[in-house]
Amino acid sequence: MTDIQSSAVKKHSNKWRVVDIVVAAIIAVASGVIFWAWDLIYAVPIGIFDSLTPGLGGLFDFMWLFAGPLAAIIVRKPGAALFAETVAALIEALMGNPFGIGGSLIVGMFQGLGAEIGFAVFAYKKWNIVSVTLAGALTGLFNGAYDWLTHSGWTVLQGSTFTICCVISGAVMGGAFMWVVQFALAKTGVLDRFESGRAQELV
Amino acid sequence: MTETIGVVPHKERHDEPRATSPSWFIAKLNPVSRFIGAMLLCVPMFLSLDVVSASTALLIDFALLWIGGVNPLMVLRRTWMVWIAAVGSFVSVTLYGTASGAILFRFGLMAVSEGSLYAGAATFLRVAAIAVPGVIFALGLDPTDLADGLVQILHLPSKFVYGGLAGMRMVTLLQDDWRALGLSRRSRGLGDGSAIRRVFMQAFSLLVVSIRRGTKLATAMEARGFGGDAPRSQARTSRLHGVDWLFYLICMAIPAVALLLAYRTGYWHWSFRN
Repeated sequence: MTDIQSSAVKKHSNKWRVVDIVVAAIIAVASGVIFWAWDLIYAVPIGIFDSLTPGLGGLFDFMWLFAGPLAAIIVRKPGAALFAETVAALIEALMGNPFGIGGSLIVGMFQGLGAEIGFAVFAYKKWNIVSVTLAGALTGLFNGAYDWLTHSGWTVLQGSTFTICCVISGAVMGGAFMWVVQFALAKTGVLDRFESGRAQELV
Repeated sequence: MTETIGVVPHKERHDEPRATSPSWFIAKLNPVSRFIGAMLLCVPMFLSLDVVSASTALLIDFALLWIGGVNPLMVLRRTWMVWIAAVGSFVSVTLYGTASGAILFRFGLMAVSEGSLYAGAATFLRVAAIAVPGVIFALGLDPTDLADGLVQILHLPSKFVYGGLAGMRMVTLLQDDWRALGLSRRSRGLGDGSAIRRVFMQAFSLLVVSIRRGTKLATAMEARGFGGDAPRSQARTSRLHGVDWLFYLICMAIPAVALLLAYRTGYWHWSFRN
């Protein structure tokens, strides 16, 4: 009995099950609602920081950066980050946001691609705080790069400060903090059907 | 004591058809076309940063939306968030944009020059020109129709699209859950402290509840054969019609006209050059 259980825990499969898709989608939808709520108020903190300093507003961008890393660290399948971040951006666009369909979806896919690379460089074998932090940082990098691209009038100082702030914000709050959230979720027992929920029981 | 509850058979119920868009023209389109159109409209606009192309595109957008049944006042009302975002972009580019021409104002790292003021104005107009049509296109979009289109027209994997749609249907439930969680926490004397702490704790509970519901939903979906290897048949057909292709043409023509005008008048400014 214990043998069967431990082999189930150790074996990682990259094949998507229905539960992976549905839970990744639900995390994405919940994140999309948070993105949208942030769209309503972000102009105040980011606007103040971006007008008083060149680019420190990027520190608040984590509110748009966490969906991909969170979904990926929970379901642990290739493509989960891209799927979740894109669906979240879609929800955000459908609820009505300041960037329209194009703006929201393009940046969402950009961010998702960044998060995906964070896990892909480990060949989808490492699902720990290192990979999720890297994924968060890359989400921030891709977000910063997109904003710099669309604000081509920025000086190098403004653009690079903003991008670095996005990377820090993504790595800390969008990445490492999501590891903590995943850990707390596993403790409640809702992740029992996932590898992320079973890993803790082994210890 | 027996109580009878009258139930109308489902075939006799009739819902008022909900408008899928405030514009009669957009309502005729396949939902997928709104996305393709929005991309065609916005991507070319990134090429040039100048006031002529951005304001031309914005004016054409407003005019065409008016013909399409959305008057400018309504456009402004529905896009208020766009204008706030555009002001943010204007401020950051004006204060920290590449300086050129006479310096008008300088304070610490901030420098407003003629060049950065112009770039700020152009960015403001371009943000609006890109986002305004996109926001209007999204109004009233039906997620189920969109999912059908994504599977049948763009041939995205149906498991992911319909799985995503199932997740999307949870939004209304999430709203109810949020209220219920707030009430139950209150009845236990929780959450009278800091508002930020309360929101975070409650958001975590919401995540727990929604993942629990999601795993249950996945089991139910699997029980009905979702996710099997057999090919999936479609209950509703989603197709592109002539009007969709007309829409694509319009969406390509707007940036083309705007950019050409900027080029001819000498205002064209290649975006990725300082």
